[in-house]
Amino acid sequence: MSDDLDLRDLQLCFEGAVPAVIATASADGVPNITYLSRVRMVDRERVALSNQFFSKTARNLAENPRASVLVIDPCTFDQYRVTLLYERTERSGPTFDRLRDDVDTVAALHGLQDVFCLRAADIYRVISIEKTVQRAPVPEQAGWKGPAGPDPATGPRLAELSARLSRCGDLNTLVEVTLDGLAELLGYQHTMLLLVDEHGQRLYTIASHGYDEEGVGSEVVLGEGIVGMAALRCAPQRVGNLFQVQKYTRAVGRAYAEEGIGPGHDIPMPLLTDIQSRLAVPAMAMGHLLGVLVAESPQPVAFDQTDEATLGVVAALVAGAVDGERARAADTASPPHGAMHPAPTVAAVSTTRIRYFPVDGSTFIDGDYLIKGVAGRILWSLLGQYESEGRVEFTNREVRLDRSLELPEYRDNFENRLILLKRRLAERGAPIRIEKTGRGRFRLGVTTNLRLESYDRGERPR
Amino acid sequence: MFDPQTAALLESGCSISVATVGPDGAPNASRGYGLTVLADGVHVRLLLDADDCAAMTNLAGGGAIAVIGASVPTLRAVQLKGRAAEPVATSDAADLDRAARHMESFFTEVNSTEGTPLALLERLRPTAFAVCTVTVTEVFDQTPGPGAGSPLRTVP
Repeated sequence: MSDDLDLRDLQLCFEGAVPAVIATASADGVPNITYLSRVRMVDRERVALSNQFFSKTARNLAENPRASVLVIDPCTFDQYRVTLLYERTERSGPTFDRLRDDVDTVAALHGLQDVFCLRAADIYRVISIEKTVQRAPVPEQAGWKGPAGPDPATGPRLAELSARLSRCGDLNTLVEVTLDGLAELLGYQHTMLLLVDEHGQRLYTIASHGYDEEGVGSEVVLGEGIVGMAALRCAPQRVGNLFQVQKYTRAVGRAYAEEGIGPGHDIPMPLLTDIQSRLAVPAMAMGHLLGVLVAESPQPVAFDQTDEATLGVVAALVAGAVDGERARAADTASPPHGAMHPAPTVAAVSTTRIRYFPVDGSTFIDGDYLIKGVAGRILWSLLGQYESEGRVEFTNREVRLDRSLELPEYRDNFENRLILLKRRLAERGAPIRIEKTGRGRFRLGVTTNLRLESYDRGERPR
Repeated sequence: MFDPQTAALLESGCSISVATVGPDGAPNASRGYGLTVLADGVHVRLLLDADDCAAMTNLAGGGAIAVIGASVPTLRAVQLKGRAAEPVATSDAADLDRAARHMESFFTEVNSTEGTPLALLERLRPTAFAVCTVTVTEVFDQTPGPGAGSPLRTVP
């Protein structure tokens, strides 16, 4: 290697934040240049390049194994020319798998997983690394910040967060303490926690931190987008410079669409509009996926493997607590029926219209969408009892026995859905609240007159 | 002839990358800093970093070249192949103005679409330029996707 540079000095260049280009040449000296979707460091002397659209590059390498790659450090914009010698092509194995995961993550952003996939990983030996221009160092405030990297304080801070989590008495407190602690103790300012639904098909946001809209109840299908991929693979997914990556996937999507292959569809990016980096880590307990913990940043290369490890620890703590809480709630002996406390007289002069669609549990408050699915069914059940019997006190156990909720018999997620509903009502400023009154008990607070309308397929309210 | 769309792309603030080949057959990747399609539709005038020793050496006496121009917001890209005349250092006002306009447009595009600070992008600005004329013989679509590498036009 020249310039005393090592591949490890170029780590940030391989995060995919700034597109790299590769030049090759045929045996008779005709050059070719094209963009690379991904470069991965294999070891201190080798890199792997994704091989998707490299027909000419592949032909050149068969004749002339030399290649020249330009990469840019996204934080300093130092540019490096890496001279390579093609060694082999791999179609399986750990290097191929890592590169395939990278490509799948990018493809998932545009729903292109079925057509935009890694065919092979080309392995090259590094002959030399050259910094192409020598410029004055970039002023610190003028550039991007890179990942913070290992910090000796992380261990004690994780221990503090763990201690705080261990003191949480219920799931609602747990999710708040988790996300607050990630910001306060570990510096992750934009985070969200999603839990897996009853059918294992979707993730729903139960809490978020650092966004204008909390987004409680927003959903992601398993396998879609970075968050969905983290859940499907049960493995961390990390991507930087989302603006660039999304641009790339849109270009590829358009190219496929023009060929009549797979329409592709945009996966809506929830919440922050200016995010550049996203890290999604699965939350697992006892071998089961319970959710995904997500961190985002407006910096283009904000996260690295250290962040994956740190958030992985927190995600495991949360998953263990969620699983424990669910098991405890299922076992808690409670009276079969909550006390029949009549609804207090509502002095409210307003009337709130609740529209409910049994087909999917979608619920609207005065025309504004609130929630759907199990959480919507729970609310409808509670409001029905409030209206007909004047009940405001409930136990989890009796409500979960209501067959109209369509809960699965195993791992019914009832507590999670109740918390989701409670948080969603609070987020929307609804005149209906759910307040925990003890273990496995809660109170319905209603500060309005209600007009309940259920719409079956015939659209006639009943 | 280049179709108007291709010419407009190449002369815009696109990202320009250049491949040359050394006498030993080793390819070399570098950057371009402005491109003008000449009136005959067969030649383009390409600005390079005069301090890019590998590119200057490879093109000494003229040499094979490939140039890719990619739209920053859409990544639509075309690749030109042909033969470059030997680059010469230039202090010609028109060349320097062309390079300055290209970089201003390129940096603005990157800044507006990706948010990259201009101070970072300025680090890509060379301190000296060389210019060469390229005789273009082939043009390819290089937009990422299954059609990448498809010929667009062959100039006889």
